[in-house]
This record gives sequence, C-alpha cells and structure tokens, in this order.
Amino acid sequence: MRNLFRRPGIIVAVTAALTVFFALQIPGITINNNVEVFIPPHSAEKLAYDRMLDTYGSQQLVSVALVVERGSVLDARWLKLIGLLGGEIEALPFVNSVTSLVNADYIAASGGGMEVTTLHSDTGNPVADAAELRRRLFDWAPMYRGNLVSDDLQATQIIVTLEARTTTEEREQFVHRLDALLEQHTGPGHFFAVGGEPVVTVELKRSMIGDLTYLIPMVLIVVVVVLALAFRSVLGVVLPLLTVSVATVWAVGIMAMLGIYFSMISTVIPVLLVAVGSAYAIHLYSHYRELDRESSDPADPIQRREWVFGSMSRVGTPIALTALTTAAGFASIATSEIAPMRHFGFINAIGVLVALGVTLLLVPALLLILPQRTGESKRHDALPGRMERMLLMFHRSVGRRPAVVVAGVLLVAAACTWALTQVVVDNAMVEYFDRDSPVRTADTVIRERFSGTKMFSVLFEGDERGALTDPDALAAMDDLARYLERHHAEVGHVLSFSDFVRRMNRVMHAPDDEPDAGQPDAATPSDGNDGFLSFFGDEDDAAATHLTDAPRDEEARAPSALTEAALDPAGVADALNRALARAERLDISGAELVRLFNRELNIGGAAFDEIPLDPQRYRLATRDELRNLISQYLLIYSGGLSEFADDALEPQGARMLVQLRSTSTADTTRISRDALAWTERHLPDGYTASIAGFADIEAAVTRLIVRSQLTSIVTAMFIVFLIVAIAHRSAMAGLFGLVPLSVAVLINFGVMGIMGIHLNIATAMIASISIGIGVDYTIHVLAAYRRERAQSSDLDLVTERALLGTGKAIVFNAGSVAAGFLVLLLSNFNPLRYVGLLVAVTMVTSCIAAVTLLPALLNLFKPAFLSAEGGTQ
Amino acid sequence: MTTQHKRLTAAVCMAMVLAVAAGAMSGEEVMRAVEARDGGRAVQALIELRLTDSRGSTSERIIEGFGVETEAGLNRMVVVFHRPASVQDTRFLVVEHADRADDQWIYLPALRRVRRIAAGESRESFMGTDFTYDDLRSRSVDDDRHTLVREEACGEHHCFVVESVPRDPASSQYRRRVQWVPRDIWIPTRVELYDSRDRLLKVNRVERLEQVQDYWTPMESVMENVQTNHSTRLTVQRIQYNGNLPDALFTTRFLETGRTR
Repeated sequence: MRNLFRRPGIIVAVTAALTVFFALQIPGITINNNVEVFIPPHSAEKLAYDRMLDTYGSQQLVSVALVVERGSVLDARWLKLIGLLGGEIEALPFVNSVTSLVNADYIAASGGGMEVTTLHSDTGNPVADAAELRRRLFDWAPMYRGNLVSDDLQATQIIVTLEARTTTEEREQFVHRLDALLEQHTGPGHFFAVGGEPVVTVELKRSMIGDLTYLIPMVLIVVVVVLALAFRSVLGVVLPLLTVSVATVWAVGIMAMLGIYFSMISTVIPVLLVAVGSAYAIHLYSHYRELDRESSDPADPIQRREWVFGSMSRVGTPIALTALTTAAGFASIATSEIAPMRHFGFINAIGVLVALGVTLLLVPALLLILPQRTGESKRHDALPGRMERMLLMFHRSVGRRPAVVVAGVLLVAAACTWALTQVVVDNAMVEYFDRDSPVRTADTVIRERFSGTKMFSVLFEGDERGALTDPDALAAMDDLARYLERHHAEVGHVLSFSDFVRRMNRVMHAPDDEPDAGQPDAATPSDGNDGFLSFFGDEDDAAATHLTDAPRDEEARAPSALTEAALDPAGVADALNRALARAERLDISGAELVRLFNRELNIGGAAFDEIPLDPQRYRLATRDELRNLISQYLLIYSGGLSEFADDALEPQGARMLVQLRSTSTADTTRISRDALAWTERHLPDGYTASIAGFADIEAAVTRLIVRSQLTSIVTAMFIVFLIVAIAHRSAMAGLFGLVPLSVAVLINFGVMGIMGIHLNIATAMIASISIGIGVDYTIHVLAAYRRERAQSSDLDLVTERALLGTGKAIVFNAGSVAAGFLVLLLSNFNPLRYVGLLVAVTMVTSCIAAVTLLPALLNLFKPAFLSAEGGTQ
Repeated sequence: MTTQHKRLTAAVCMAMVLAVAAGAMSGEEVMRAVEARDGGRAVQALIELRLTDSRGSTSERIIEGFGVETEAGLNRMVVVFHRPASVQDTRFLVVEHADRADDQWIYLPALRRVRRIAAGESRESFMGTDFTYDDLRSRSVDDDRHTLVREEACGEHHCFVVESVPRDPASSQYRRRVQWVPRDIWIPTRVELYDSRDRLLKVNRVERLEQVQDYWTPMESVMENVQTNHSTRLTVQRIQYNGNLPDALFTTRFLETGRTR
C-alpha cells in the first residue's frame, strides 16, 4: 500500500483529470420525464399503446381551457378570441389538429338532408349565431358537454392534438410556444388553464432544474456546517466536500456518457451522494486527527506519513464495509423493471464506490501533500461527550430491561403493520406537484369543469372485416359507454365509435320537413336516349338487380308528428306525457324531458338516436342489411372517423375513449378492469376488447412500482444478511442484523400509511436507501458488542461499553445523513420531499433500533456466535 | 363551406381522372399548360382503389364515376360505389353552380332514400384512402407560387420539375409540393407532398400513362404515405371519353332508381 502512495501527486493528478473528463460529459445529459421512459419497452401496456398509435393516430392531447369570470363563453367576444386563438395554435409547430367550440364538427339533419358544418357558423349576425350555437350544443350535448363547454357555460376547452411520435424536446418547444401565445391573450375577465401530459412533462423538467440549482448548494451548505462544527478545521471541511463532489461529478458524468435520462428521481442523486459519501472521508480524517493530537511534532513529514497509514489501516476496512453495504442497498433498486429506478440504483451505487475510492486514495494522497498548520484547534468539542452521557442515561433507564424494549418495539411494529395496510399505491404524475402549483391548479380547473385530463381507450376487435358494423357489437359498445358513465363517478365522458353511428342514424331518419327544392330531377328525364351502361355491370349483374325495386316509399320515411302536435295543445300535452312515461327514472331533469319529448315526436330524428338493431323497424329484411346500412353511414363520414375505426367502411376494430376526472392511477386500474369484465359478460361471440392508453401505461407503472418495491426490499435484506453473516461467520448474526432494519423499514411504511403518503416511484426507493445506509449502524453495534462480550460476561457492562465505543459515531453519522436528506424538504416535488423526510426518519429509527433493540435482543437471547471465545474479528 | 363543396366536387373529379394530380402544377407556364389541357367533355370511368396498410393487409374499393361539363363550363358528376358490397349502389351526385355552393346528394340503398348533403372535410381521407379531399382538388394556378426547379428526363419523357408553395399557407395542408410534369402531356407523373414541418409526407406516382381516345390518361398510379407506410393504388379499369351520358344521369331520380328512364 505504501508503494501506491510513494508519488501521491500522481493520484491527485489522475483523479483531477478524470473528474474534469466526467465533468465535461455532464452538459450532454438529457432530461426526460415522459411516462414512456418509465414503462419497460416490451411491456404489454406499452405495446398496446404503440399498436393503438399505429391504428388510430396521435394520442398526445393538450387541453387549453378558457375560463371567463362574467357572462358565458358563448358571448361574441369570447367566440372571437377562441377562433383567433385556435388558428394561432394550429400554426404552432408539431400541432396535428385543433378542436374548439368554433370549429368542431356539427352533424345534423337539415331540410330533408344532412349538414356537416362547424359548430359555430359566423353569418355576421352575432345574436342569431350565438342562439344557434346554443341550440346546437344542446342538440348534440353528449358530444360537446364537458368536452368543449362546462356545464355553467363559463369555460370552454380548446383541444390540441400533437403530431404522432413527437419527441420530448418537440413537445417542450410546443408547450413553450403555447405559453407565450396564451400570455399575449391573457387579460382582465378571463384566464387560461393548460393541461395534458406534455404540459406536465415540461413542468416537471422546469421544476427539476429549479431543484438542482437550489438543492445542491443547500445540501453542500448543510454538510459544510456539520463538518465545521465537528472538526473546526479547513481540511476537515474540504476533504469530505471534495470526496462527494468528485463522486457526484463522476456519477452524473457516467450517466451522461451512457445516455441515461435524467428524470425527476435523479434529482436525488447529488443530494444523496453528498449526504452519504461525506461520511467516509469524515471517518478517515477524524482518525487522522486523533493521531495528530497525540503527536509531539506534527510538522515532521515522516511522522505524518505514519499517521496517514495508521488511520488507513484502522478505519479502512470498516469504511469499505459500510460503503459496500450502502452500494448494495442501491444495487437492490437496480432490480426494478422501471428504467429510471434501475438507473438511479446503479448510478448511486457507482457514486458510493467512487466516494469510497476517493476516500481511500485521494484523501490520503492529499494529506501527504498538503501543508498543514499545526495547533489548529486541537480542542475536542463538547458535543460528543454530551451525546455519550445521553446514551448512558438512556441505557440505564430502559436499556437494562430488554424485555421492555422488545415489548415496546413489538407494539410499535404491530401498529405500523396495521398502518402499512393503509398505504395507497399511486403514481399520478400531476400529484408530484404541490396542490397550489400552477400545473396542479390548472389540472384541477380542467378536471372540475370538464371531463378530465386522464384518458384510456377500450379497443374492440372482431374476427372479420366489417365486424364493427355489426349492430349487436355496436349496441354492446354503446351500452358499455353508458354503463361506464353511470357506474363510475370518476368517468367524466365516454366517446365511442358507436356514438357516431347513433348520430348518423338519427340524422338520416329525421323527418323531411321541407320539400327538396331545386333538385335536377324536377323535370322528367330529358332525352330518353338511354345509351348509358354501367361498366361495372359487365362483370357483375348485382348492380343492375339491386337498384330496381325501391321506388320512393312513403312508409319508409320517418313520421313527424310535429306539425299536427304543434297546432294542438292537447296533442302537445299528450306527447309530453307519453315522453315522460318513457323515462328510465322518476327524477329526470328538464333537459332529459326535452330529449324524451323530441324522441316522442322524432324531432331531428331523435326517435332514431340509437344503434339500429331491429331490421323490421328499419324496413329491412335481414341483419346483414343493417350492417350495410351502417357501412353506408360510414361512407358519409368518409374517413373522418379514422381516430375511432380502423377502416373507413368496414372496420374490424373500433375504439372507445374514456375520460377520467380523477388523477388516481388506482382509479384507472379499477375502471379499466371493470370495463373489461363488462365486455366479457356482454360482448357477442367473436369479439374481444382490450385496454390501451396513457392512463393505462401510468397505471401499469404504478403496478410495477409495487413489484419493484417487494423485490428490492427482499434483495437488500438478503444482501445485508449475507454481509453480516459472513463478517461474523454466523447465519444467526445475519438474522440479528436484519432486525433493526426491518423495524425501521416497517416504521417507514407505518408513517406513510398514517400520513397518507402515497407509494410512488420516489417513495418506493426509501426502503432500499434506508437499508443500505442504515445497516452501517447495525454493523458497528454488532462488532462493538462482540468485542466487548469477548472480554466480559456482564451483559450490562458489555452493552454500556459497546454503546460508549460506537454510539457517538453512529448518532453523529445518522444525524448528518438525516440532515443532508432533510434538504429535500425544499424540493418542488411532493415525492422528493417525502423521500427527504422519510429517509431522515428512517435514519433516526434505524439508529435508535441499533443502539436499543439490537443490544436488548442480544442480551435477551444470548446467541451462540457471541460466545466469549469468538472475541476477535 | 364553398371551398369544401369544391373539394368534394374534386373528389369526384378524381374518380373520373380528370385531374390526377394532387392539385395544380408548375413554374407558372408549365402550370397554365397543365390547367389548359383538354381532358374531354364527358367521361365515364371504372376505378379500383387498393388500400395497403403498414402491415401489408389490403382492402379494395371499386367506384364508377360519370362527369360532364355543361356549356356554361359547370360540372355535374355522379359517383356510384360498387365495392365493398356493403356500400354497393350508394350513389352520389354533385351539381356545380356558378353563383352558389354546389348541390350534393347521396343515396343510401339500405335507407332507400336520397339525402341532400351540405358538407365535406377537406383534410380528411377520401373513403379511407391516402387521398384527402384536398389532394383530389385542382388548385387554381394563382393559389400558389411556382418555381421551375429543373428539367430532367423522366422515363421516356422530358419533365419539368416544379415546386409550388401556397400563397396562403392556411389554404393547403401541405407546406409545399414538388411535381414532375412531362412536356406535351401536361399531367404530373410524380408529386411529392411535404407536411407542415416540411417533411416528405406522401408521394403520388403515375405508373402507367396511356392514350385513350387520344386523351392521355394515368391508368395506374400509387399514392403512398411515406410516414405511415400506408398506400393506395388507383387503377382505371375502364374509361371512356365523350360517350353518351344522358342528362337524366345527373338527377336525384337516378340516384334512387339507378335508371335514367
């Protein structure tokens, strides 16, 4: 070893060069928080999402809500703003389409035909236009309500679809341009709220950069203060600080080199490495200082070499052991299926090992090189002395009654086990933000007024081309849509392929209340010289036969009772009562009554607002003809439904969009499973249903978190068991070593359950982090106890001595790590704040468990591996 | 609505192969020549559309189009859908007016009724093909700025390569179009369409150009969306220029009965 340090300058130079190299890599790092980064690329949910993207096009939606304070959004001035803004947004890069109150499609019956027009027509008469717009909104309410307008008519939504497969950077660009645009249009009397996944992702990045520029200096300050208090010397501050800085730069540099995305949870990396990594240099330096203090001539370089190597040989092994266990704790997170978590574990493990390497190489090298002033505060501060007295006091009051300690811990553990069952697993991205943060406020505005910001699709698939023109399948789809709306309060809106079929059926069956004017067939066929022949008939005579026997049949026309009824008050009353009698509930609303009344009189075809199911009612012979009818409706839509059907005329697959008002991923899982269960009961044979969508991916990530959590805890525990068991050559020792950590982890989950802290991507890592760091305390106490036990059989004395020997260091270490993590309380993100708080709590609990519970157990059970002869380690 | 009417009208034009190209043509003079090309007074064509998606599965549509130009220079058109069988005998009529929006009617055989239609979405697909209504519409020469990029040999012809950029960007779904126009034929044989971000979106290639009754006719062409790998092959199975198309063909009565008397 001494040879290694013959030229300490080389170590310093090489470390410096490598650090500069890694530092230069850092600017190349990419920040990415897209949900798609979190899901394994080959998971079923991701594949389903990609397939949906292939079939139905872009799924990237941004919602721009305009909320007005007085009047309604239907006022001319707001409509003008919506139109203007819609056009400007459409011109932004990466926009696929914009749908607003002004330009949305409106399909309706009109004078013996149908019209497809924009929802708002500008005829130059604002009063009449506004009245017509209101009428249309009510006329096709299921389409627009909660989607384009809020129920109080004070808010409207502009829905922006981004192009398929835009990159994260492109979405960012769009959001920034959109923000700038909205800024220009903001004024008195109204405000905007922007929601949707791209917006949340961009805001995540913005907050992360804020976190990084704020938290890193903060944690450094905390560490400097702690170090300064402890050592009162420049080197005592500089060396640990240098260690963590080098470790952090290398870790992040390696991340950049490997092309690992920096995500929200990566923000913790620098904070964590600073808090954890400083401990190693602290230990080394404090031993060096002890020797220094005892020395007679500190300026003698030969003497100094001896101190350095003396400290190294005394604390080198324990430092390496604690660093290895900590790295192992992080490595256990690397078992996760969620890439950012895996990377987090991996990079932190590397960072810890780098910190270890720097402590064992660079710090000694620097100590050998740097000139040191002598007599630099040789006074040992009073703090550890006081701490020792506290430990003793504690031990003498309760520590002597191990049964009491164990009983107390069992009680706490029982309480925490109950609380553990209360932990909610939820990884809703929007909940990463503060309740009063702009993103969260906007999300709430949109969710309260509209149908929600979360979406998934139910995809229907038949076994042949055209299967989704089958009336039974469509009716099942339609029923599912209504079922979801009625049975789940969280479902804000369902828009299904079947809704468009219903609409067209209605429009095409509206009564002819106006004779067709201006048809070119008014005159008899002119020249009578019928030399024309279809080219198609040549090969297939179907054409010729089909079109013959269907002269205009008065019966085939849908009847309209409107004219007669309008003239006769008794008739109106009668119709109203008949309509009311059709109600499905007794407590229907006024709007529902009007709907039923329209249905009774077939106003605008309202009696045919249904999936055509009964051939007789449609004067057709067979169900196949009903299928043809539906295909023919689709022909009129002519490709306009490509977001909902996989073919323009004969779809084999079709889609239903379910919008959720809730933010909870647990709701997504519950509702999508219920939808699938429903389809299993009610879909006709030959049809299957599946789920896909952003919310589905988000929910899948949440489910993976639970799985990762279990795997990583088990892995971490196992590694700890192995390390302790090997160190003491006893499996029993390994088991004893697990106890304090298990209690600490249990308390962590207990606190989460009681405080209602969700288990999410960040909080799922607390257990592993705590095990990795907290095991150090167990290792120290176990070793000290064993050492003392070898010299005495008086358990009381053994405990007291063991605590005096290590307790101080443990409490100090736990305190400084906890203080470092508490800096995370200043984060912009809720989950990171909880990580800070809970790791700090766990540091304290695992430290307390190590100094109380562990000796109590050892005293109580007197395990064999601690017998007097095994005293040397 | 007027432009949408025009676009829908143009859909029918496509069906009759009066205008093959996704819009108009070239470096202004080339363009004018394309526009001035005589495409016949009346035309009847049977057309097969074969759609192929990115996974290679195909589906087929067969339509038949009839069109005449009246003495006033206004168009009347009928499209009859033959395949798939589920939409067989659906018929569609467009009558152009000089002073007001086009009239459009559709007849659905399963409904046995003619319905007037007031609509048409320009940027959406025509029957699920890779043609949008915009693609099927002839843009007026004055709608775009045209630049002759170069001249080059294309097959056995000599082509003008013309880039056209809309004067009003909002008037087109494309940022620009590049067209290859063979001299003396004046039908673009290759059209490249670039999306709003100026990435190549679609390519239309005429694969077989023939003279039918002295009129140059693209008998087979393919429109390919290079971003989605979806393509539509358009094959003219039969075409006749200046045949006898009775006036009674262009009536709602014909839509209902399929007969001209």
